[in-house]
Parts: sequence; C-alpha cells; structure tokens
Amino acid sequence: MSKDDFFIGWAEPPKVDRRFFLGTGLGLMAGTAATAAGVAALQRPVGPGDWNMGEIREWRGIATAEPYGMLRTLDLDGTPRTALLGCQGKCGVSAKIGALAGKPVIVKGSLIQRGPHTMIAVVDGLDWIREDTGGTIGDLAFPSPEPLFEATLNGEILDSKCWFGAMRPSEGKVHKSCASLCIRGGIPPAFYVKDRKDQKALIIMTPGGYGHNKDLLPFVADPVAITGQIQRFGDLFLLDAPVSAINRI
Amino acid sequence: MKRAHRKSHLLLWLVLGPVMFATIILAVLNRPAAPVNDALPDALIEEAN
Amino acid sequence: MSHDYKAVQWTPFKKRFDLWMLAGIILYLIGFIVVGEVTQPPGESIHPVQAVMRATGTLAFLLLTFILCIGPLARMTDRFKPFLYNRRHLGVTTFLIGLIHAALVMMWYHGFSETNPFVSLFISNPRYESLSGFPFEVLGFGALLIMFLMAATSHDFWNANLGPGVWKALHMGVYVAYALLIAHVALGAIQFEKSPAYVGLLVAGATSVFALHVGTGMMTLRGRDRPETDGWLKVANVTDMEDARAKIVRPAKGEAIAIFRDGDKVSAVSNVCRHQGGPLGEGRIVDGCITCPWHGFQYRMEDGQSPPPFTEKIATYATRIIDGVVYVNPEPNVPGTPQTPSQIGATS
Repeated sequence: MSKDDFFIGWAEPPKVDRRFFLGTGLGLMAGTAATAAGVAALQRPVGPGDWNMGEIREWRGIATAEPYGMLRTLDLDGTPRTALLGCQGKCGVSAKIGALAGKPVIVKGSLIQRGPHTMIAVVDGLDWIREDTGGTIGDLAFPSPEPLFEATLNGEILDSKCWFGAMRPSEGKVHKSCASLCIRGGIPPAFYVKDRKDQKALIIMTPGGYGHNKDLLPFVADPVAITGQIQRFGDLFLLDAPVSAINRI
Repeated sequence: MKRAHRKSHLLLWLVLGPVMFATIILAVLNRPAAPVNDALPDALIEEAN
Repeated sequence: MSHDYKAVQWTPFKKRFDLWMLAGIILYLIGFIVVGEVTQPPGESIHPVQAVMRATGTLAFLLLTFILCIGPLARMTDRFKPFLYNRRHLGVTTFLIGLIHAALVMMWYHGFSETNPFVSLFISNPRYESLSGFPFEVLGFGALLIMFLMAATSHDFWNANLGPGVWKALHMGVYVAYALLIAHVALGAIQFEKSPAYVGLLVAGATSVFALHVGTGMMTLRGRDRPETDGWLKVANVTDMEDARAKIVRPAKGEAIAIFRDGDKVSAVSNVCRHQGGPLGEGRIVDGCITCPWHGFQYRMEDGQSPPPFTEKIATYATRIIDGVVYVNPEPNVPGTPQTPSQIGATS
C-alpha cells in the first residue's frame, strides 16, 4: 500500500479508494433494490376491502343495539341488507343507539365494504343518528335469529371493522393488538374460517344473543376451534357460542 | 479498543449468539398452524379464491 | 485532537457517503412499496400505512445487520475502514427509520381507541407465557429504546465527557438491541408470513453478525506471549518493518503497543486512540504524525501528543534496536511524555 492509498476521512479519498467506493456503492444499490423487491414480493395476500373515508353519506333504515349496533337498510335493488355500525376509531356504537333501537332512523357515516360485508363508520359527535320521522319499518324489521346447525369450526377471531377493509392485512399475529383493541372497544367480533379449497366465510360472534366483549380477548388472533350454533340473521350469519366453547388449536 | 473491552465484547457475543439462534429455532418450530377446516358447510361459503 | 463540538464535522467524504446512503434508503422504501403493491393478487392491496410500516421495519433490520458487520469487516480488510468512518450517520439513520416504523405501529395498531397506546402496547397481547403468541412488539420497543440511547449519545461530546471506556461500554448495548430485534422479527413477522425466505434472511443476518464478531474477537485475543529479554519485548526485525506503518505487540499486562517506523526512526505508542479506542497500529504515518485508521485523529511520534491546537495525549514507550531487532519496553510512560525514537543503523 503506498502512502496515497491510506484512507483518512477528513482528506480527499485516494484514487484507488474512489474506484472501490463507486463499485461498492453501485453493488450495494443493486443489492438493496433486489432485497426490497424480494422481501416485498413474498408478502402474504392481504385480502380485499376498502374504507371510503372521504365520502360521508346518509342511510335510512332500522337500527338495533343487540347483539351489536347494526342498521338494516335497503340495497339499491330493494333487498334488505344489514350494515354493522362502528365509530371512526376502535369502538362500537350500540350503547349510543338507546331509545332509537327498532325505529326508523337516518345514520350518517362512511362505508367500509368487503364483498357482501358492510360497516358504516359513523361520524363523530351526536348527530350521527336521528329519528326518520317519515320512515316506515316495512320489511326492514330485524328478524329473530334462525338456528341452522351445530358445528365445530377452526378459524381465527378478529374484529369485523379491520377485516371489512379498514386495515390490510387485518388478520394474524401482526394485527393481534389492534384486533384486541377493537373488540375491547365494542367493534363486533367475527370468526374467520377457511377450508382446504381456500373457500372462506366470516361469521359474527355472539353468546346467546348478546355481544361478546372483553371475555373474548385471550383468544383473539390465535388459531382456535369453536363449537356452537350457526344462525341466520337476515343476510348475516351468527355463531352462537360461549367463551367456554373456544379452544386454542 | 482496550483489551478489557475486546474481552467483554467477545463474551457478550458468546452469550447473545446462542440466545439469538435459540429464539429463531424455537420461534420457527412453534409457528402457529393455519386453522383450516376440511370442508365448510355450503350455506356459509361466500368468498372463494 | 479536540475540536469544537459541532453537530457534524462535515467532510466531502461524509457528504458523498450520506448522499449514497440516502439514495439507497429511498430506493429500498419505494422499491418495497411498489413491488408489494403490484405482487398482491388482483383486487387486493396492502394498506399504504401498513406498507410503509413494513418497508421501514424490514429496512431497519437490514441496516442494523449491515452496520454491525462493518466493525469486524474493517478489522479483516482495510477496504472496509471508510465505512467505519461514517458508521455513526448510518446508526442514527437506522434509529430514525426504526422510529418511523414504531410510530406507525403505535398510531395504527395501538391508537384510535380509549386505551393509551403505551398501555395497549403492553396489555393488548397478554400471552407473555407463550412462545408463538408472545407479544413481540414489546421486544422491538426495547431494541428501539436502546438505539435511542445510542443515537442520543452518539456525538463526540458524550464520547469525550463520559470517557471512551464508558462510552464504548454503553455503545455495546447495540448488540443487545440486535438480539432483541432478532427475537422481535422471529416472534412477529416470522409467525405470520409463510415464505421460508424470511426465515432464511433472518438466519443469514444473525449468522453474519455473530460469526464476524466472534471470529475477529478470537483473532485479536490470540498471540499475546512474546519472548522477553530482561523485561523488553521483541517486536520484529528492522527489515520486516514497513516504512510509515506499525507492528502491534500485546504484552501480558496492559494495553497493546503500536511500534511505528518512520524512515530510519522507530517509536512506540499506545495502540488505543483517545477518540474512540481505534487501533492506532493499523493506521499509518501521515505528514510525520501517527494517524488513526478510524477517524483520522493524529499524534506526534516523538511524544504521543496531538499537534496543536489539539490536546489529546497517549502513552509512549521506550524502544531499542539490537542486532537489527526492534524491542519495546512494555512499561508505558505517562501519556504525552517525550521519548527519543530509536535510530535505525545507529549502534546502540
């Protein structure tokens, strides 16, 4: 090594070093780009769904507070649809429906939608729900849950709001804390099940017609098996099972 | 680096290394199994890939 | 060499280094987000906030792995020494990228609820007793906390005021941070993602850092026993001593000694630079001064003092040449003590 080859940070780098730096720099850049592409491309599919936060609109329908805050409303083609209700953050709104339950109401918020599943994220403040004085109940009355069959299913407990499209991904261990906070706050919990043909279903969870709450938290986002009764609730499915029927796999 | 530092440096790595690798091995062995069902009741199926 | 404590002692090299670093970081983040977007199945897309969260998280891991490899690589080949020179900027940048990752997680996953995000961090996942269910976010929080302490004390002001010994010990905490980061990834992303390539990347990172540190650690601990002649240690034959370079001798007691040759003069000083403990014996003589390979701190050969206006002093040692063989007295002089160099060719 000649004297000129010695690198000192405060001096001009020697010529040999400059060529080396250029080579190393370009090599590191190529490696960086390749690693970024590789690491990004191998991520699991995160699922569809979206929250159109910017579009605030109003829905007319019938509200209920049990098992969770929901609005039964007419679809564009005239069929009744059930939209879950949530706040803008990680909380449910069932406690705020109060005396308006069962009455025609107008609800104001933005839509979170994944396939047939919808949630209305209602606007902050008190005017998110008001009585629809000109409205009629008609076909929109909430039906009683209709028992379908008993089943033991493997799946994952998660919060409906994130899964509907508020977050992507919205499942698994990385999302566990968020799902716990959502369910703790009153967002309806759901059981997400898949089969070997990669067919999927989402079932809203309830123990005996009421809402689950903190009792569910130890099992959120873990692989579990649940034995319970599948019920039809309008266009939704419910899984009626107590926490004692949940087992970690 | 002073000799004392070189020694504690090496010792620290001799402790941290096995801890690191043990964590990785145990974490990989304990990865949660995907909670898949053999077949879902037809009534429930809505989203197919 | 003391100096005023400016935020950064800018040099043309540092500026170029930082520009390359910035370009690499932007390339990674944009590349990750774009490729992540186009490789998802039709109709599916990672949420932009979560895409940035993942891009910064993976980048912070890769950067810290690279940073921790620089030190040992620089001991093995001179070529890597320039990376050492600006490692600090890389370290602080890595902390900032980790901070963005953590801030997004706290806001996105732990925010928007009545529960305080920092309370949520520790209680939302209560499965501390489980391995696969372990609240891995807490581990990342710990790693980031250590990196915050490193970044906050990374300046030479702290190095000078805490003393290089305490400072170096404190900064070894970064190895603990790396182990925490490995656990954070292993018990987090690895429990969720399915591709074995992620496990491969994690193992490759941990193995590189571990093997390089233990390898160089063993290397420098070896070779201490030197034949003594009435208390003097044999260094080398004069003919084996390269001009303007040093031989390093490690006595049984005390610090390593760097014995330099400058033309026909031979002098010995402590091998430990006053700045950050850099190995002076791996440096060389520039303009008559011993120059540290790490950050270019300089000392005069004849008295171990930094040239004015700087005030650093290192220990000097007595040398002698008998029958063409250089010897050094392992008893250090008080730092800054003038010591007449041995003259090659003179009879002694």
